[in-house]
Amino acid sequence: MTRRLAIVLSLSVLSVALVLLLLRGATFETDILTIFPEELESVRHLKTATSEGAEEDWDFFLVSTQPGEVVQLPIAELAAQVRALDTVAAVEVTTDPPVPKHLLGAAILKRLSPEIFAEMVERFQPDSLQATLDDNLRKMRGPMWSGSSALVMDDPLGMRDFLLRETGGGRSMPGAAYVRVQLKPETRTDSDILATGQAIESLRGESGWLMGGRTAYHYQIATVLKQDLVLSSGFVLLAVSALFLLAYRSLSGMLVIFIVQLIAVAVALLVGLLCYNSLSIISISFGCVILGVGIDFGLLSYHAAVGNCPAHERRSIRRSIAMSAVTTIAAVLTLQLSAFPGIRQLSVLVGAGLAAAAVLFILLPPEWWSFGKKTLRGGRSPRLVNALSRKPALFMGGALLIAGGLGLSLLGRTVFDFSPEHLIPRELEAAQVDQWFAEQFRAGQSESMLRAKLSDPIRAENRQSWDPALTVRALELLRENGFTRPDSLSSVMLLRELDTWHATGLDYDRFSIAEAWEKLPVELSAAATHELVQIACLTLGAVTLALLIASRSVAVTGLILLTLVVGAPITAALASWLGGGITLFAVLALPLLFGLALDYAIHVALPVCMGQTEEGALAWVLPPLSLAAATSIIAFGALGFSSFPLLQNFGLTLASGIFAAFFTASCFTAGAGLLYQRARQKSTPSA
Amino acid sequence: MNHRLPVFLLLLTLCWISAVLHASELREDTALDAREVTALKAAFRQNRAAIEGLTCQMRQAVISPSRDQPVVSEAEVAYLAPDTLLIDYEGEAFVLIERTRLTQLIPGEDEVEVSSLDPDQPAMETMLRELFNGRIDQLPGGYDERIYGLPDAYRVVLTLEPGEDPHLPTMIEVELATDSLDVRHVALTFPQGYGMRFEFRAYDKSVVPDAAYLEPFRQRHE
Repeated sequence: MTRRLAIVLSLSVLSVALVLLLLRGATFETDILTIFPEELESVRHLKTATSEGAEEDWDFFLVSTQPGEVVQLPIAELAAQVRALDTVAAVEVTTDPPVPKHLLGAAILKRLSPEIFAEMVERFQPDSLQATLDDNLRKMRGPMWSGSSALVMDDPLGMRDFLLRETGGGRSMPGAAYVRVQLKPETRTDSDILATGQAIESLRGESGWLMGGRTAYHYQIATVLKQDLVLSSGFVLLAVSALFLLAYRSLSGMLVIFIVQLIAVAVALLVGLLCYNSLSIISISFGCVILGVGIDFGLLSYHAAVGNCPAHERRSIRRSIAMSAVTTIAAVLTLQLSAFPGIRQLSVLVGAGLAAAAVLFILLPPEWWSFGKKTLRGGRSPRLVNALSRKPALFMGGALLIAGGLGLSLLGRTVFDFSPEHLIPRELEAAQVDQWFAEQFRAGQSESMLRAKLSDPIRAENRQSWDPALTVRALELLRENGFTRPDSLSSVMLLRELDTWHATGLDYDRFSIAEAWEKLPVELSAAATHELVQIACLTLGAVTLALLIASRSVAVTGLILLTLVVGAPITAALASWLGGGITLFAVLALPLLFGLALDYAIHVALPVCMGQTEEGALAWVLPPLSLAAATSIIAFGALGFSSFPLLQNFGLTLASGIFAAFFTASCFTAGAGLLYQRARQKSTPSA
Repeated sequence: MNHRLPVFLLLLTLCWISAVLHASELREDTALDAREVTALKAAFRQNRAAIEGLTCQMRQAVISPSRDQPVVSEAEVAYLAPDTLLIDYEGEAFVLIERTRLTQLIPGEDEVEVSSLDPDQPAMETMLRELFNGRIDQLPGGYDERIYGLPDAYRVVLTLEPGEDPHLPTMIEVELATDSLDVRHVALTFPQGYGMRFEFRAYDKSVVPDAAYLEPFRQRHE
């Protein structure tokens, strides 16, 4: 026994170490758009627009939340400390815009009112253009000590001068100073980005500097994802183990559950690392799903293993373990049909983890569940089971009434919310920094913020009034005036941007990020509904067939399927109240809930309807099932603490669904099953 | 055959003369050691301190990577020790650097631009003036300094240290005449191929510019 305990404890430590090691090596996909299917037009537009807008040379921006005020860490000191980091190539303290000036200029141009844009086009008349060029060449022959004089060196066509005059009321105020950081090209790997982000965070401490920028998004999302995964999975693991300990007073049983669950998570993580380059945001919920669903197998396995379970009940329980494992994994794997890459990845991870958990729990020798002689106190049926046995019709009718009432309460409410605006956590610091740039732009009319505006659409009128021949004319004139290599001038690069929009014809749509975001929910909703119907029909067909074969009874199969119908309005109502509606990804995870609900219905219906003694079956099934439901609700409810709204909703919807499934199975299915069993016994003449 | 020998000798002679004339260019510049640099700086400060005022001609060239030829302009320079420097671009534009103020008129503009200067804060705008008054260590940013000895000049090469403000010139080259220590040439190199060159000639230290001479420039903004 001591030897077994030592092995169990060693295995616990090894499992924890293995999971942590795998987690450390895991790379997370931080681009939120990768969770959408590329088949959708709006997603393609968004991806194109994002890649066009991501022409930033800088990885991190550090901005002060109290510009002008004395901060604990002065900007120069902060810059010097960041500069000393090994992974950093360059650090600048600047008021300049964070992207190349010609892109910013182009961003302003495309949003100009058609009248001002026409005025700009007028400047390209030959005489007018020559006059501008002469004027700027004259300026280059004078003192070059001011910024505006230096500007003409790079902008002899006066494009930026025009833009500043038109958009800044004559002069653009510089934005507040900030620090920008560029990483060495060889250090743009996931691990280096995380290490640099952490180093910058420790340097700035509590001094009031916020970290933003393209790479900061990567760092912050990856960090939040890892935290979410560790915290939610860790919480669930401890909570379900503790719940098990409370329910059964079995330390050895708790340790076994702890180890098997950890190994299942490790297997899933290993499969994820082997099959994918990086883990999607959606997939990080895999830990909770495995822990929440896997423990159901563990509870039933424990019941079948401990000493005083009657032989016929043990067989029945084992049969339901095998069936529930197959149906749950099958339901999870149907998600492979999804067009959403994150959902497909989630199904592989959860499928692998659940398979590992099921196999381990089935193969586990019974003596490993208990280091001493352990028997379950099964002599007395719980009060609820007794009440259920006495008045099954009341429980069944009550469940139907509640489901009907909750279903009616949903009338006039929006249950499904497919808007994608809650994908990124608002509290993410990089998002606050973007807001800072926007405020800088609004407050000072400075150019500093237009980064977020790069992907805005060009006005259709402006695109129509532009003619690429004007760029050709400007280039000819520049060459005539001694600018033999005009392509390097920022004003020419700006004109080239205009030409690109004009030439492709698709540019208005391509850059119409706002329009794409508007279209996205509609397209996603259509895609999700199509998928849901397809997956539900396939699953339902397969499950019905499997149930018919296993139970050899249309009535039992019908009862199990009816349980799903009764549970649906309860799930919808609870999810709507708790999670603010069922979002896209929760909808796509409904097949998973479908599998779980089927499990509960099977666990109750098969022993009650097919078993020999009705009350005994319920007494053996309902207590572990209630524990299984509680652990699953904990597992998915833990996702409600996630920083990502989509995961919060995913968790709360599934937790609501599991509660509904348990409630329906224990009241409606059990009640109906008992009535069916009694009716069957009456009709069968006793021997 | 008779003609070939004299032609050969003539070419040989021309080559020899050319080599002698350009010997300084062929010879490799020699960097001054620390002791020589200190001595040169002390001599320069002493030399500058003796100047009450001067005038000279300046040729400014603005270099752009988009052009083969720089944009060139001529200017009259008047320096009044210790803090006043006027660069007058052929009457069309000017820059007047004083102790606490920089006044400039851009070509084609009607109004002058005035900005304040902090006498205790090094600024790139006042760099040319510091070359006249000898405050040569007052430069913003960190620069690596090398000084080379040429046959008739010293060449000071300042290279911006890594991590410094990228808006500053990446390289500053100053050429001083060996005998008079007068600034002959200043070249500023900026990132991406931009640059400015200033050549100074026709120094006249005998005539100290009259304050009255500067007054019209001051009055432009008053």
